Amino acid sequence: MHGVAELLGAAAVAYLASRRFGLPAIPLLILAGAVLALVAPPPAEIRDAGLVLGVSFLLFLAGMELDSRRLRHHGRAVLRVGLVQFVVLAVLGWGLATLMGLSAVEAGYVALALPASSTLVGVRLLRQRQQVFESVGRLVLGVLLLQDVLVLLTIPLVTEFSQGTAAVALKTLQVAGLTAVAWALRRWLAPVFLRWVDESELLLLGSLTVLFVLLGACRLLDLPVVVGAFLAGVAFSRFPVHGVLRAELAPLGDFFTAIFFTSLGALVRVPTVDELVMAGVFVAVVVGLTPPLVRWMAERAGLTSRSALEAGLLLSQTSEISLVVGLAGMLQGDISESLFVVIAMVTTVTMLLTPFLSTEDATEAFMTLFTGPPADTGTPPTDHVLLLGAGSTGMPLLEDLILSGCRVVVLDDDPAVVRQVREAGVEAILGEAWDPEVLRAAGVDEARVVVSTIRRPRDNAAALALATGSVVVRVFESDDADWVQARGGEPILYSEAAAEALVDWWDGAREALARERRQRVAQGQGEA
Amino acid sequence: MSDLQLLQDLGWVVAGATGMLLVGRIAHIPPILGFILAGLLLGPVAGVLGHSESLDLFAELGIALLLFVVGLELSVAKIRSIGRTAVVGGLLQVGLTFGLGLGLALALGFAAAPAVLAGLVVAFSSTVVVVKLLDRTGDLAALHGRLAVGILLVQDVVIAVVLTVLGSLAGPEGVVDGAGGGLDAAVAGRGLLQALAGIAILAGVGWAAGRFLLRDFMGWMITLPEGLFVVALAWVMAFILGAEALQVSVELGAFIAGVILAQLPHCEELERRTHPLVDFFLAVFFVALGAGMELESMAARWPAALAFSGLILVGKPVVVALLLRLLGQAPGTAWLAGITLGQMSEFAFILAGLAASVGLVDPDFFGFVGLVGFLTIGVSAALVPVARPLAARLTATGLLQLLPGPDDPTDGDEAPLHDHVLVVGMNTLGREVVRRLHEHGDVVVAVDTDAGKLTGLPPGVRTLQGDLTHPAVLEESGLARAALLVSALRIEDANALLTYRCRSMGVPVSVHAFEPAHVEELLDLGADHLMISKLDGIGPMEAAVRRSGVMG
Repeated sequence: MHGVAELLGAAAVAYLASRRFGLPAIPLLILAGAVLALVAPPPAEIRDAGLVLGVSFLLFLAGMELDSRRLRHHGRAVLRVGLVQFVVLAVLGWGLATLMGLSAVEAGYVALALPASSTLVGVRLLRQRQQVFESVGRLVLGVLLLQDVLVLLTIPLVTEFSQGTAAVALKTLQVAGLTAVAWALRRWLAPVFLRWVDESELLLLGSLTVLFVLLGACRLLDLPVVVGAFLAGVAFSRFPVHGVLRAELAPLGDFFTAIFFTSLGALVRVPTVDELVMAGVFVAVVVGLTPPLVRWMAERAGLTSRSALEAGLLLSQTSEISLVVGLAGMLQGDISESLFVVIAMVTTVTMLLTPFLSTEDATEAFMTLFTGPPADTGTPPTDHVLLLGAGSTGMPLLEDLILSGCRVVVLDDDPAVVRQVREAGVEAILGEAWDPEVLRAAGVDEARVVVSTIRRPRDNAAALALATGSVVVRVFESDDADWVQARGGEPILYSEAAAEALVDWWDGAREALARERRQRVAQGQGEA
Repeated sequence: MSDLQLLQDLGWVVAGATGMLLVGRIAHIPPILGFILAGLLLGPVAGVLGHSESLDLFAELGIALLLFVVGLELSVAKIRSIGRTAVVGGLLQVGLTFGLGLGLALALGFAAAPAVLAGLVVAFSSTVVVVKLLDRTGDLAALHGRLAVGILLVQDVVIAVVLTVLGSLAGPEGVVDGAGGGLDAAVAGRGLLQALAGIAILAGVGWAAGRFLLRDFMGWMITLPEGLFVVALAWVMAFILGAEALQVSVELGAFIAGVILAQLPHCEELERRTHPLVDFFLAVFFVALGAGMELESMAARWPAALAFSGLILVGKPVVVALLLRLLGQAPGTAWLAGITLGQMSEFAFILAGLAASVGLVDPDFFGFVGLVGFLTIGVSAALVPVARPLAARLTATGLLQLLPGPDDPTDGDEAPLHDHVLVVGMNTLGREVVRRLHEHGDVVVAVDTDAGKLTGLPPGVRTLQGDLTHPAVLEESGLARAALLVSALRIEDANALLTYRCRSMGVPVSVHAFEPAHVEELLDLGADHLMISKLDGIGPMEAAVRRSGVMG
């Protein structure tokens, strides 16, 4: 009990710091664990139990997120960006590790640890910024998912690397077999399970049984338990199974995550100068290379420069999975304690850097660093309707505007949208609607009306300041409406319109729905 | 990795528990009994699950967290309403049932020391079993549930004293010479003082922290809910360590930690998050309990065990019911609380182990306690879920009405919601829907995970803080009886899940399709109506453009 109390206490301090300073929790948990080990080391058996259970739950929950719906948007971009980033960083990590005198096996572990980016950090930042549903969010989430799969399914190959080709081939077959089992469970067992089980207790214990069965299978096949935990999660990753289970399992996940990262921190000792140098090199590679690499690939896959850069910055850290890789290697005796300490340091530092690197200001600075002035020239249009954003919100509006016969100029940041609009014979400019220069090129000060449907209403500051005609802005939240109004614009609350439509529908449908339901209940009773 | 033995043990526990839950669904075996049976099968019968310190730790955590949850549900007002009855009734009950047990043991020819212990076995009921069962039936907050839990907590204080006394017997003076009445009164007095002083210190420190530190802190921390949860768990651990240091039971420490947080905002959120942990760790507790039993020594004294089980299952409920009636409770409530408390406490195992270790009883005594525990907990787990009809029959006998007191429960249960409209997600859309439907005359319940967003709604609108994808919140919302669910959320997964839930419950649902790309999927899932804000807003938008002179 004392050991658990110590670890939880350290975790509590880490979370307080995380809340206070707005930093990701994982590196702080590791630091808290490391400090704890210096002051009052927790008993080894508690620490080890925390590690093995923690890693199982962590990967179980990670596996559950493997929802193919996440790859529905930008699937090709995800594949390209994910694969290129993974391969380049893996090869580079392997090369650097070999240059620094590590053995081939150790270099293999580095090659797995460096390319993975953190799902826990990425998702948290995307949520905070409400970017989950923007292109950048979808791309980042997809890439993270791809990386998890790539790393976890290749761990057994690296652990068997020293045993020769035959052993690697055998492990590959075993992993493929186990994956097939998990996929079959996902396809057939999980939906039945959900239909049959209506109690939270059975839901919890039943899903954990699958977890432990697959852990046992891994033990029999001599595969790392992390693979079994992840695949068990995959077995429950189908909608709506994972949604129902997540509510049950999340608190256990929170508990064991806290215990896991502090326990892991307790394993880390004070680094030597050599280890610091090696960690420094790896940090430089991850932070320095990921953003330009992702940006380059993402831009080629059709994202705007800004989204592409934002995605790169959000992906520029190593992952909790990297820690798992390092831990598995150390416990198996494949890598030295020294390399484990290096991996832990790289992860802690890169995770702590991410929130700073991906702020609005930092992104702005990187943008000017990478991009030249806008190429659009020619005389700005006059006496037109300027439509900012012609995506899913703007497009229906655009159709009506064209039908009414007025001159419309579209400004959008998505190359695909701009192409589509031009093909329909409408003037369109590619660029960001918050950029005053782009706005001037689009004739913002000569427009009769500016209509903005862009996602973030507050990106309209420049348009509101520069326009001479009226500016009509689509908003969803009432505080954004106040903000627009205070700057002389006319906010249109789409949420209000939707609420009105709902009440109209409910007025008409209520009686019919209630009648239908009574009939169903009566039928149900008749059958019973 | 390193600790694979623990994984294997846990794997057996979880698989066994799940297996027995599934079998229990068909054979109508209550879950707790199923867990103990699973333990018996895995331990003494199959021999795959041995004693393990890690499992013990999990079991201990489970009990502590369970009491934490019990504490979280008790506001000061609820404690006041039952405090006197619980203290007086609890103390009298412990005394009376102890006497009955002692008498029965002596009549069966037990020696003095075992007879005293057998009396103690009868006196206490199981907090773990009762809370778990009441939680399932949803009666934890009902009057009889609160009374039962109150009495159990009083019992816990007595247990702390008994353990202190027994512990001191193991000291240098050695073993008492078989005379049960020969226990030193001074030692007992010291034990009582120590326990009460410990409780006072814990409660005092906790109250001060709650008063001066935590109130603002909870609101600040709730934006990082998993952080708040971990901090709360550390808070419980601090109280557990404090209780250990002050020689008070771990359960009481955890309970006090919970009660203090129960007076603060966001305690429901903590309760919901702690619940799955309790489910998991307690399953370990019960399976380990079954695995620790020894079949041969259980069989050794079966006639005596049967007699004692009868006393606990019948005698104790009658004693509790009579006492509660004398203290002014309605007959129905008194019977319900009595039936609820008819089982042996898991503490009896600890007691028997301790007594055997200081030589007060022979090893077979442990088997006797094991059989009594198995029988009474098993029967009780079957009775408590049907306690209401059972209590109604017992009330109809008119036995308790011979004593003076009110005939109806003083504590009317709040009428459950029905035909209401649940609106999830208090963004501008959600608030607007709430306002309009409320003006329209609907009974509206506003739901959000953030308590801050539930303020400033029109008066008369009910609010519910929590995540509706969570089963406990779902239950509380009365979704099954709702006329309509509206989700204004901009969380794709949650909207899909809510649609699915409503569909499977047959409740009409309207969801916010904030991206037109979601429309198809949500319709496939069976949404009755979609709020497609991006389309709904076009009308007003074009009207505004027209006002500025374009579009003819």
